[in-house]
Amino acid sequence: MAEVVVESLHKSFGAVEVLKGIDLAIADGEMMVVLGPSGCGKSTLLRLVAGLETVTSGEIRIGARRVNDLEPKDRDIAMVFQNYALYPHMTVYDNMAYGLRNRRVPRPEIERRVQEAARILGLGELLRRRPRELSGGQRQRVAMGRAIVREPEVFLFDEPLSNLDAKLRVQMRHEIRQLQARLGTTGIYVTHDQVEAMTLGDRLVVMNEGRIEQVGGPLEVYERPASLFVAGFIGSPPMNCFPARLGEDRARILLDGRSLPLAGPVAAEAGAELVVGVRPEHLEPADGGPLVLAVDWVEILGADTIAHGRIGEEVRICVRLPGATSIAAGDRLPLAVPPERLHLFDPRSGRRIDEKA
Amino acid sequence: MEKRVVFRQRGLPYLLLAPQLAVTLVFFIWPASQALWQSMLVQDPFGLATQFVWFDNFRALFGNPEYTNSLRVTAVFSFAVAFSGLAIALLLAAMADFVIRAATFYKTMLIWPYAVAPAIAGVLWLFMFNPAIGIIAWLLGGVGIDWNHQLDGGQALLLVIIAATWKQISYNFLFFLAGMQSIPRSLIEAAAIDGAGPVKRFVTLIFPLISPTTFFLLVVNLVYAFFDTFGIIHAVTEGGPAQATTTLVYKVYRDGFIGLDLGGSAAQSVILMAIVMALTFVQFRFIERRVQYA
Repeated sequence: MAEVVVESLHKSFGAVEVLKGIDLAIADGEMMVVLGPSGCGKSTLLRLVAGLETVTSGEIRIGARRVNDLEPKDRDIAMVFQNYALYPHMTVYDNMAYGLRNRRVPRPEIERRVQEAARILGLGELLRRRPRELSGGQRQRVAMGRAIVREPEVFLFDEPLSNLDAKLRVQMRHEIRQLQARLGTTGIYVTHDQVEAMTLGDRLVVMNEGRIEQVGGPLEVYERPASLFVAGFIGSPPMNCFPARLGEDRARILLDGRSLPLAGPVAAEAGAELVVGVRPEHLEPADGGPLVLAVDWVEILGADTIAHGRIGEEVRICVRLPGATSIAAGDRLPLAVPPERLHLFDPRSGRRIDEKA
Repeated sequence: MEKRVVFRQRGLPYLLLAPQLAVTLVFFIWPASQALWQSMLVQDPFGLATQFVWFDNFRALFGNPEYTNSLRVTAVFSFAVAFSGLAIALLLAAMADFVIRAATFYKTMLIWPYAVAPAIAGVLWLFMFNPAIGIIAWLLGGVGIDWNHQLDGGQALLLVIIAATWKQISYNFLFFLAGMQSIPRSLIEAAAIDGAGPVKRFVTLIFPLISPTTFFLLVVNLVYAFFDTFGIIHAVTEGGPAQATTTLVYKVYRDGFIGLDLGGSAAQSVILMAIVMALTFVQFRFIERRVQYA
């Protein structure tokens, strides 16, 4: 058990700066999910914590130890790789026992730990098999087993579910979450899948272009995205964003001559240019609503319906409505938004604008 | 799941196989059977009189100490060339796989010797080890070793082993390196996290995973040492001194084309063929079992 602390971490590959100053503190026993699009540096961050890449500048601590210059094997971590990285010439048992044998753990203890891991993961029947004789889900479990027998301070997951089919992914997600909570081991989980991130993490880190955009609980990130990037990245379909202007009283926004009330005055200049964000699921049909959607395309998904269209001349948005509705292309749909569901962003910095304190 | 192609016309498959069969027949089966036939004949040097003698040629060979000496030389030579060729190439490949800076330069340098013709490789080493003017012979003289492979049979054997091994290292290196680079990077990283240092990783992970390559190279290298080293031996020692470097294949040439004992030479090539077949069989039967085809 240990906390992981990353301080002003930079990493460059040649002239390319991949991480541009990361500060992050992960509490003991916490599951931290690192989320971001490909190329944002999330895997590099994980590999730096693992010791598979060298730090350019900054500091990484696991527990009380500074680990910058320690070999991977001395960091007391275990990693689950995207392609599982099982040793193809060893049985499932040997795959799990390999790390323990290298550390000269006594034979009965190895036996005990591997049997225990096999029991937890339901691998009892498969211990004598080779990886190539296993299905994708079973290989994934062996990779998990290899990590847990080590009883490390920290688990590192590098997109471990992305090679599984959708159904298995849901199941394994649940298993990983339960296992990590039960063992109480600190975890860092890298993914580009926001559903995985929302369901697995105690907290999320959203990364973009080598920087952290936001750190927070899953709901916090969803309800109060700290930047336009986070707003667009979390949620599906993504948040609708369009330009508007702040009213004179700073408690309403003006859009094409219409006016939408805010929950309260905000911390920006009166009359300032803003970007307004509203999630598709927070727009509600309302007779006489201030926004009128000219529907031009409807996706009926069964559980809900997504209507795409325009407000005014240029602004394209979409609305998510529960159930199957009778809305069709060509309809005009009046919509209302609860004031607390409006998000405001600075168009230049992309940062969130909060209510006035 | 086996895929089968069914031909409607019965003749077509045979027609498609014909070129390969013809090549095998003309260049392998026919000469081999000729050798087999000739090994039971005795012919005078002018080819005027031929006599069928059953296995007299073979009997004469095994009664001849020169031939049993040649068997011993071949065994030492082939084992030494195959073993050191594989071991050195494996070491070099492991190191080339490990370095990052200037890796391409090292690889290119290590592959070059393969482009040198056997006879030229032989002459190269001959110059360096020449007792009178060779640089290595001179250096050895400096540390008190009197190098003269023209007189010392052991030194002569060592010299052809070095030349033949040097020639083969590039080939082995190339295959070993390709084998190592086909191992997924994440496997090595997983082992590093699992507490295995570079040496341990090599022994427990890399070497078992490239074992199909090693096995293939073992077969190829033994065949190389048996047959393809003729050019080097011919250029460096011509089998001497006093038959110290006369391998089986060199003796076949000497007795057949210089000594004009066609029957005896044919008998030798039949034995050589049998030895290589037996070796290959043994390798596939007993060593291949230990190979991990992942």
